[in-house]
Amino acid sequence: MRALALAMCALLAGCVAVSENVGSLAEVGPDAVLLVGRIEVVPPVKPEEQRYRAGVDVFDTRRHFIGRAILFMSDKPDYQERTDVALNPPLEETFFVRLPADRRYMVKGSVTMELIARAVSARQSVMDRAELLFPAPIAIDVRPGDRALYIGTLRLHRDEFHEVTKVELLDQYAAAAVEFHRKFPGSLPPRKALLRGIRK
Amino acid sequence: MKRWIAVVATVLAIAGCASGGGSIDPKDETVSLVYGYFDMADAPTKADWVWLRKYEAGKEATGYNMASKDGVFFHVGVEPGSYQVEKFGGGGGFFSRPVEYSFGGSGRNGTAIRIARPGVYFVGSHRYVNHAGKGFFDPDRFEMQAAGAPSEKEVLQRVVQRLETEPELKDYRRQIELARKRLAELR
Repeated sequence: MRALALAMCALLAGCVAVSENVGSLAEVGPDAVLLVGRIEVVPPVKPEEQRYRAGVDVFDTRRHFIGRAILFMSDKPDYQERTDVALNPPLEETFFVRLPADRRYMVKGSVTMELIARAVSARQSVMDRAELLFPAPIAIDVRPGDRALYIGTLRLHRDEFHEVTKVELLDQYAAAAVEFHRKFPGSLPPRKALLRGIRK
Repeated sequence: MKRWIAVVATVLAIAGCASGGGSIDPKDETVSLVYGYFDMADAPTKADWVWLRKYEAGKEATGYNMASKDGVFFHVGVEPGSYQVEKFGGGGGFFSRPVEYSFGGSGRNGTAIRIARPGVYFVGSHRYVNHAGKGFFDPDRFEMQAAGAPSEKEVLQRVVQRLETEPELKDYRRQIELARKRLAELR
């Protein structure tokens, strides 16, 4: 609860660097790499399954939750309730997100299934929340000189309680490379660096 | 909101709805008896109510509010589906405010059950375990741990005793028979 509240506050306050899909490799910068991959949930998360009511949403934070995952990245694999770098890839499609090269551990990953703010009193409110939690930590094999990495398709099977019951990692490099070249024509192809340390 | 929940829970408990009496048809053979136990000795407040949430993809959260008495809670009219305890709380009193606790909503927790066929279902005995904060600015945390005691048999005996003696529950003969049958299996 506290972790999510902090994450929410951080996202709302802009304290977390949130990486959504990038439009050009120039956005990646010298101290970062472009991650190419895909996250699939089985059965897929339908938009109407995700319940989000967090009051007045002037920064449109809703877009970070609906149809997307949030992956908190760190320089160490130890669990932390939140970090200051989060990747925000869309689900069920190939993503292209910027990762600072020194933040190669995903220490918390989730799809928010429910985030509802309720007023308890005139001075107090609570958050009802439910998350589909990813197995963590997951290491990303970032090496010196890397510009773009293909990390694979992370396929998460879930039950009705949004518990991940099975994890698969698929190598769909060929299809991802076609999309990469369509999006960034003339660029060197991503190096294949499939995710490691996945347990379930 | 907590106060509102507490008021609703109290009204339901008084009306007999919180344990499934009242609006539940005693002849309905599709519903189940669900029961459990929370040991709140380590908690700052007792639990007066327990919310059993139904998990259905793409639907608004529904479920059953169960009144808790001496740690035991139950409901006689739970429809088929997937459920787990989502939250529980205390109604507060003259010197205390209503409190709501989350059992944990990220994935499956220790109370999860799937009701495919009508019957009796035990969500377990669980103990509130407090973890004191390490400093003034580090608040206490808690977790609900599975507890070996009381056993399902002990909890169910207390449920049956209430079903047989409380006027608003005595009509639920089918549930009482199902509970007795389960007790026989547990011997």
